[in-house]
Amino acid sequence: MKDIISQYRIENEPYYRVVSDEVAIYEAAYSERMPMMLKGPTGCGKTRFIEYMAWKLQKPLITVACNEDMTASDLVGRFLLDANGTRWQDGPLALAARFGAICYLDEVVEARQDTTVVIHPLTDNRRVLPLEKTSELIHAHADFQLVISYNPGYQTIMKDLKQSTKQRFGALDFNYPEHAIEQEVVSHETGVTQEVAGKLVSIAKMARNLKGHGLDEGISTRMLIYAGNLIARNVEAKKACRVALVSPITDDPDMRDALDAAVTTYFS
Amino acid sequence: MRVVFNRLASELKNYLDPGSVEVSDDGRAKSRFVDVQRRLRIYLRALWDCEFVIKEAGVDSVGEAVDRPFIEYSVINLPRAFFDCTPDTAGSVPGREIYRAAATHAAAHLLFTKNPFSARSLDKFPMAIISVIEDARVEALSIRSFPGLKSLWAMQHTATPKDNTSTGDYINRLARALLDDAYQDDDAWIKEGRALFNSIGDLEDQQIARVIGIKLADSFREKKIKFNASLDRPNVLYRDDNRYLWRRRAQPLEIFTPFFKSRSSVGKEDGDKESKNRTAPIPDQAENGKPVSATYFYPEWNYRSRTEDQSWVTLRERIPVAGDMAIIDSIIAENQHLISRMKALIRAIRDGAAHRIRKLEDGDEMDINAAIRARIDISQGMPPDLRVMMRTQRKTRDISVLMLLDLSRSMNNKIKERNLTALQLTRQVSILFSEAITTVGDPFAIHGFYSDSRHFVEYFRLKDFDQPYDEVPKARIAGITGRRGTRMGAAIRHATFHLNNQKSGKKLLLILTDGEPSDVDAPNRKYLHDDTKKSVEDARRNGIHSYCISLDPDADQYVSRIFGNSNYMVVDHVKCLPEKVLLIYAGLAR
Repeated sequence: MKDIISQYRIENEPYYRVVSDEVAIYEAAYSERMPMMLKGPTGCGKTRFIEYMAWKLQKPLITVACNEDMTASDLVGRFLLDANGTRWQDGPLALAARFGAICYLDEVVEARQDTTVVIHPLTDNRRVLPLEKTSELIHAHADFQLVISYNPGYQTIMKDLKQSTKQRFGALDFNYPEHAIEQEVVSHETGVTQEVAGKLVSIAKMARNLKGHGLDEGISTRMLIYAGNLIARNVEAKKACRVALVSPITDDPDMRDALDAAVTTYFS
Repeated sequence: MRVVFNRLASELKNYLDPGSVEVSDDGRAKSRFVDVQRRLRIYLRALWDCEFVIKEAGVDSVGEAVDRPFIEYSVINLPRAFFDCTPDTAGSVPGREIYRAAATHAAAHLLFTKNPFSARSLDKFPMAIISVIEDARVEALSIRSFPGLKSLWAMQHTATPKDNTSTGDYINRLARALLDDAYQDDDAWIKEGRALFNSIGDLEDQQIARVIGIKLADSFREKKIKFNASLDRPNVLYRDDNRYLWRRRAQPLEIFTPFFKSRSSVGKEDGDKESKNRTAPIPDQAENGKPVSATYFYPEWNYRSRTEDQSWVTLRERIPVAGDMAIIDSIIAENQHLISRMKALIRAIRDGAAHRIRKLEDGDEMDINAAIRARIDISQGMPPDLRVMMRTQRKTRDISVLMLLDLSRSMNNKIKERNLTALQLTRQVSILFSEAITTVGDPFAIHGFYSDSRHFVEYFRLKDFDQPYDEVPKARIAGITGRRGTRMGAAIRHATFHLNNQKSGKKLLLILTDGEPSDVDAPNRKYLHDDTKKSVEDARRNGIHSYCISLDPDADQYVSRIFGNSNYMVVDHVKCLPEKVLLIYAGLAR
């Protein structure tokens, strides 16, 4: 059974640029096995951070991308029929609890509220996961930790985490890094020069000024990396910005025009 | 349905936003201010993250159409239209690029020309030269942050060394030389100007422009060319007339403070005491002679003591005055097109037929297709998908909406760039909203309020939940007026009270306002902010979702604090407000 979990180990160090004291805080939280919540806008490095931490702590990482059709059994597990009868199949959460992995529920608010409550007994001092259907009670492995990500701005308005869920987590706030750091990240991830990376970051800053003034969300670091990748593949810088930065985030012609013009203040 | 929705949305967009280029009689394309103004605002906001006021300049004092940009009282005035022009070298410059250059240049002045120059003891000619240097200085400062602006400005300079007859020619050449490194000019005076400008150590130092300007004006005398202030004006279209640079007599200093800064200095601590020790104002009986229908007392949150002052606010419901139905008829007639679009949109979100939820492990009935698939999988020795049940669900919309209108005095102010007061816009939105919402039949109410200290919060039920939407509410909406203050907390509490009497599963409180809470007896902004925030939280505890639509472009400082991060919208384009209101409603009601 050990090899099931070993596939979730992260062998190579993922690139993560430390912004402030988040690594130290996370390590302290992990040593207490405190459930953590990573908050921040999309594409600012939440998932990369947890990959990096899993690598650093040498723990397997099981990631679940949550969606609104997800049911509790998608997390916990279910009986499967096979040719000879039925067989229990652990879900990702049960797997992580049994074998001591970090379970990362990405965009947890997307899941229905009745789904999210199954994590409750795992996230307080009980640290157990009851499997109703097999009448089993999994006592979480000593290494098990639960981490969720949560983007406060972008959810539909009626959707939010319940207080009883929220209050079980410590929260780390993520945001787009400062200019110099973001420039370093973009340059490292794409191979473009520091100068080009700096320009991309400045364009992103302009778009972030427009958040709430016609844009729902600013240009993320991830988008900058896409743009950088295109530029590194010899796509003309202006075109790359149009494809990777401007067109994806808005359909409003005025907004596009303003953003295109913003791009030309750096790339002509 | 989605296809229909997208098509309608794009049609609506085309209707609202026709192309921005128009061809004039002489064949040159023309860009109009009304078409580019929103783009310019977004662009300036993106560059500098503050709100600039841009306005169309009508006619000047002599009745001539204004053809140059100018800055007055921190407002950027731009001409009504710019024609595309064809400079000799760089090909054609589209009118909208001229607009963009003009807006950024003016914004640069507002940001970097901190104090006006004194014109004392200066002739017209040194003033003209100082202006050119100052133009170059603010542009250089902007280019330092945004290098691409250089080519935007540079392509509009057309002066060449061949222009050498008038002083104006030389001024144009100097302007070009200071901006454009690639421009070649061997004239000694131009070279001197360039050298002086390039030797500036600290560009932020505004007085340097004056020093260099006076020096250059002196050395120009050798040329022995006369200066004619009315003829020798710079020929570059995008630059403003620089009246902003010079201190005028008998006028206070006009110093630009970016609006986002002025807003953030919220909450003077001293105001709080005053809000407790005030005297009760005398009710204005003459004005509010309408019968009082009920009196309510509400608590108010005091952020300093962190307690609620019980029965602190007195709220009275009054019977609204009926207005002229002709107003309503004309609104409906003018917006016929918009209304039918809105109705189509809202019909698209209306109850669908019965909805089958498939792929359930435990449902009400068997999904035959899924069961057969599972059986086949088992026969093949493969693990089947066990989710073979399904449930039939009838999607019912179960929502009550209360639209709360801010009827304070500030609603009488004109909205930026529109010939319309906030109140008129509010009236239009309420009418269009009601017209559209009656087609789906959700219960909705429209209430309004204003306040005059804590003793007099006046509340109007323009349309009630159980009241049919007919002549009576229409006339009342026509009759709304704007006066006094905005004590929003009490009004939200009262709206909560009305919504609580509704039996719907979802309850939505839409607040339409042009600004932040304020009242005569509460000069401390933080006091009313925090109270409003408290009232919104209380409403949420009662299962009521509050959403704020603000007409104040600087509102995000405080609205997000009061209503929460995703529960507000600052309307940046008033034209499509009715449609936006509806989309919010649709998004919430789904």
